[in-house]
Amino acid sequence: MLFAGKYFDGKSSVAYPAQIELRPDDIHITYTLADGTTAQINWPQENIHKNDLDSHGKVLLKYGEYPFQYIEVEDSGFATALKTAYPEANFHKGVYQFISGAGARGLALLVLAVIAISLLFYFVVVPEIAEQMAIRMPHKWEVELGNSAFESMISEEKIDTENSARLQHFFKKLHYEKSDEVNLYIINQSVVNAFALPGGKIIVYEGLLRKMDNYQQLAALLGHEYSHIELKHATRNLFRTLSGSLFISLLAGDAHGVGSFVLQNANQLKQLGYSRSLEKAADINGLKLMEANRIKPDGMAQLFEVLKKAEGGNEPVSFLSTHPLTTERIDYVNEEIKRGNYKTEENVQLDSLWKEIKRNLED
Amino acid sequence: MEQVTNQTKFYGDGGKYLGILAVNFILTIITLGLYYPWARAKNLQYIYGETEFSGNRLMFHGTGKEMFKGFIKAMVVIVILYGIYFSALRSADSTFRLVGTLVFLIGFLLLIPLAIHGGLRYRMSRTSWKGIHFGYRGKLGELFGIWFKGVFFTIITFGIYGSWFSVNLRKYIISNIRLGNVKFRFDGEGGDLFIINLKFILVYLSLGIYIFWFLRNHNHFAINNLKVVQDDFPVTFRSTLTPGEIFTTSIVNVLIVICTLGIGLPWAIIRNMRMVFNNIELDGAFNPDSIVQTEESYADATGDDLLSMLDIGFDF
Repeated sequence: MLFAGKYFDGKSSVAYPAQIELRPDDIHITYTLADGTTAQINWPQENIHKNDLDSHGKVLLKYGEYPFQYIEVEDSGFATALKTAYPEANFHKGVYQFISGAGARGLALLVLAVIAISLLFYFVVVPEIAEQMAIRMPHKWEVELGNSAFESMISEEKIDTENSARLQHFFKKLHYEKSDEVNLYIINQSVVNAFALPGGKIIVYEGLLRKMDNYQQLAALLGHEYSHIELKHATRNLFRTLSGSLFISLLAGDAHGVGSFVLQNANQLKQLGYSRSLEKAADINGLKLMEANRIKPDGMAQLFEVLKKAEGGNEPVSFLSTHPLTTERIDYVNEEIKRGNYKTEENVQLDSLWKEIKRNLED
Repeated sequence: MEQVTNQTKFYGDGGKYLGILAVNFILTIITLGLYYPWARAKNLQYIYGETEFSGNRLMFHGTGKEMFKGFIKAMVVIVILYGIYFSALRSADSTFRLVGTLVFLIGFLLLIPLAIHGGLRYRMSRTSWKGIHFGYRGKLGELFGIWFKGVFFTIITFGIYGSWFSVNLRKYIISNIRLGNVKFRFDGEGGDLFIINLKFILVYLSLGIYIFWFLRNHNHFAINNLKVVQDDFPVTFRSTLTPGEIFTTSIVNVLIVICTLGIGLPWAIIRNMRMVFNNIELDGAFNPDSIVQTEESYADATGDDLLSMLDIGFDF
């Protein structure tokens, strides 16, 4: 088959009028020089560069090494002719080739695939990768992370060292697997709260200790906070948040403004959901730890009653909160207690340690 | 030589571009980013290939493989810089903290002209028109000089010198671009750009309406000062873009993107390109057939990848 086109030799910008013949093994080009004489060149098809064969009716075929020669053919039949003449050739194959012939339906499917893959990555793949990375993060890094958080949060606060030592002693008697790696601190403040930092620091505010009535509640609290540490919750939460928002900013990177804003906020809501699920996991794991120590699990439910009273009935909306609603927590903990077959006995040692802590709370 | 008007034209198609971006996206995400250099190469091949000047398409010859190698090298450089920065931040030694932070900041400051230089050499070498390759012949040392002088004066004049800095940089870069034996030149002046930028105040005073004139002025400044020099004879580009055209294109683009929840973005990009390129013509005697290949091949894409990583919007 013969096509008319232009030939560029890669040496000058002259467009030589050319006749292009598609022969079985090569493309045969006959072009006319300025003086009217003709010259010929053969292109073995394997040295032709990849091509979509579609730029608004114009086909530009590139050949060989730098500086490249190429032919330009403005004939709507040329692309089809090339595919028929060299059905096995590589130059017109590749992942992009189907787009030209895809049509509106094909494009719609492609867009759906993009959306499906984005959702799959956002909801499954990225969280899973983040989780695996968080779990594999060296313990040393977690400790460092916890230390720097501790320094910036606690450095201004007054730590009750003596009572902290007693609390440490109480904690040791619970015989948790990684007890030695955990340090406990009591802060002289009326706040009714406690939290755990990655790597192994548990901070308890005096306000909370004042509101508690028995050692079972303290054991429940420490079981909950220790579970956060043991299950690497803080690190997992951090990796989840970072990976989710990184993924979204990569996706919406070019579309600043409204869209990105909406997505990042939606991401935060999802993140809060994750945070609530971690809290619940710590509650349930805390119960298991109490069971192992034969401590009455009701302490956990009582602890939540204490929190509920402190909140004074001003609970935030569940989906905007990092923790499950306290009423919810009481419910599922009670259910768990009913389901389990808890064998309990009084622990005199823990009781006396608790009473000593309570006695020594500063006024 | 006869008087001919040579027009630029952009042929891109929103649907096709959407397809390319979608395939790029899918492959990049399922390879966890490794495909990105190939995606970028394909993107550039498409955009350049749909751009025509005087009846002939531009061609981009960069390959994913070249860009991947550059990508890795650029990545190493960035990781090392951040490594120094983070270990400095975590160090207890305050001298090391200071020195590390300074090395990080100065490293980035040095990296930008280095990336521009390398990026231009690569991008130009990999772009051709009528089979003739572009080339960038700038010297790294001279670019560093312009860069640091510019950064210094821009800082001590609280940004006022920025217009002159930007024009000096553009003049230097463009005067070192070749298309075979054809040269380029940029005749704009810092003062003119400064006035254009100063008039941005009018955008506030006019409650935003002046933005279309502001954008037109920027476009005309960039295009109308651009000269092609063939056999020592300069020919000027001219932009016919009007504020009205920018207004209608922008409004329609915003509507397209919003109504399609972002899926229409490729159409908006293509419409923008079309608006800019379909308004550029070369005004005067230019002989497109007498250009001879002169530039050597340059295959190191590190600078180009760095530019893309540092997100420096450089208009080639």
